[in-house]
Amino acid sequence: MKILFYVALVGKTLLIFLTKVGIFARFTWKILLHAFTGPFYAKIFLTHLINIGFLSLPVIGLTAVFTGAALALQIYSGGTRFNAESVVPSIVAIGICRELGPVLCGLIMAGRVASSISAEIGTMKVTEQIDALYTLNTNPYNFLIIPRVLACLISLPLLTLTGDILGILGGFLVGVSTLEFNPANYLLNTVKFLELADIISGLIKASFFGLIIGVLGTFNGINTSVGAKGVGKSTINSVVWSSIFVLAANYILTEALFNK
Amino acid sequence: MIKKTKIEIKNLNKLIGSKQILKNISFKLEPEEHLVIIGSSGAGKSMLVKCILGLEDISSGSIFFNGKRISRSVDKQKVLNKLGVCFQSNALFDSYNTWENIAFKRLYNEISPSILKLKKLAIEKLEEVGLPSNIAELYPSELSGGMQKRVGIARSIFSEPDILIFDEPTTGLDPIMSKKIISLIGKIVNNSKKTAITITHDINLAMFLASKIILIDGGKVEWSGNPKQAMLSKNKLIKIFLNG
Ligand SMILES: Nc1ncnc2c1ncn2[C@@H]1O[C@H](COP(=O)(O)OP(=O)(O)O)[C@@H](O)[C@H]1O
Ligand SMILES: [Mg+2]
Repeated sequence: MKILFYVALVGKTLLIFLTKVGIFARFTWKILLHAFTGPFYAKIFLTHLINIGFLSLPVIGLTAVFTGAALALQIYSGGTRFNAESVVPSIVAIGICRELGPVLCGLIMAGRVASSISAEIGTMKVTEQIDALYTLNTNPYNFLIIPRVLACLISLPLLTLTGDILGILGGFLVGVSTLEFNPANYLLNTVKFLELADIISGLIKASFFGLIIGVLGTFNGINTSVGAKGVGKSTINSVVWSSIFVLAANYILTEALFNK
Repeated sequence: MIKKTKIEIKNLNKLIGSKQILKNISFKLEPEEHLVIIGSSGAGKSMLVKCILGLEDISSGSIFFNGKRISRSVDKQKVLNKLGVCFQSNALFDSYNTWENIAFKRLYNEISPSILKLKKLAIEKLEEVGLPSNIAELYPSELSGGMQKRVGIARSIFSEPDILIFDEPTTGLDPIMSKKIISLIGKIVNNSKKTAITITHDINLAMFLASKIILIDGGKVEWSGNPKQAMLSKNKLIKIFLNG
């Protein structure tokens, strides 16, 4: 009889999972539908662009500078083992643009933005503000969800680009101070092997991460269950799931963009 | 001219999962009637209103507005636009100030709304619900519970709706404030000869406002009638409500 119990458990879990997938599919379909039928609230979108994009600059900048600096040290200490210290500038640049820039930016934004989006919309859900929007002839998809998703989609590549530059700067600062590189040489080596495709592929990744963060943040928010614990739970879910999906998407996209 | 029944509910059922929240609910709301739905907490009153509003899907049954059956989502929004709703938790938008909350519907539905005109109209509504005009720029979090309730009421009457709906307008307020809110609702509904639905667990409110009372318990209609009939009723639940 124990086997039956486990079979039932697996079945039940599968059913819950499929229901969730169904709800999520309906949600994304509705986003697309309402994105095309409008209205588009431009002013609200701009507010979110500032909140999500511009106000994240300090945290992204600090993360990038420190990561670039640490990366330069690590690559130097690895490089000296086979007399290849000179690769530091180019490997820092390529590593940041292709991988660390977008991934760190994605993870930090999952923590900073997916959580706040989900908490805001979740609070609106449990205090009936979403219902109120419908009664005031305002569709929450157009009013709440699409402006936020779009703001994430646009912010992430721009933040990543800023992070790339500041990360390389972090590496440069350590390179010329601690590691005693010649500044001009360091910069020359940075650009020498760096290709436009390295930067672009990182920005493409970042756009996908922005989409993941925006969609999962709003999805968890709007599906917040009533009760005191609801908002907390959906906030945690949005951070955990968007982080996992950012990392998984990163691998898939890296495969897809590999060597391009 | 014979006036059409405003709202008719026929055999409405609502299930969430396997849990039946509403069971076979039927009633009619005629023009200028004030229906009070009474019931204890968790009886399904809010859910019933959300089904009527189309905010929750119904499992079976039908809903008619002005004799027309509501089916597709397009119809739903049309119906919603004729209703003014004041929610149990006020549902004021935190990031908008008082007058923007009140004028929200027109502020965000008109192509180029005239801010000055809408603000003036919103302040008129503020005065209508007994609030001073100098709170127009304050945010919901800066208002007391009673003031928030009044702002919610002002927002629900802003665009001159056909039917007014108030979900537990006195819950969470002190007795004096409750009395004031009840008489405010009475004044609004009677002055404009509106059709209205008020939800409550407060029998005094029901006796004062209602032209018709429906008692809901466990998702079912347990009793219905007018306030006079309620006084004479032998129904156990009505008696419990009446005797506190
Ligand atoms: N989204 C939901 N999922 C499951 N149960 C719900 C949901 N919303 C309400 N209920 C249940 O429906 C019943 C009626 O709720 P409600 O209409 O809010 O009661 P009230 O009469 O106090 O307004 C309650 O037992 C509540 O637990
Ligand atoms: Mg309720």
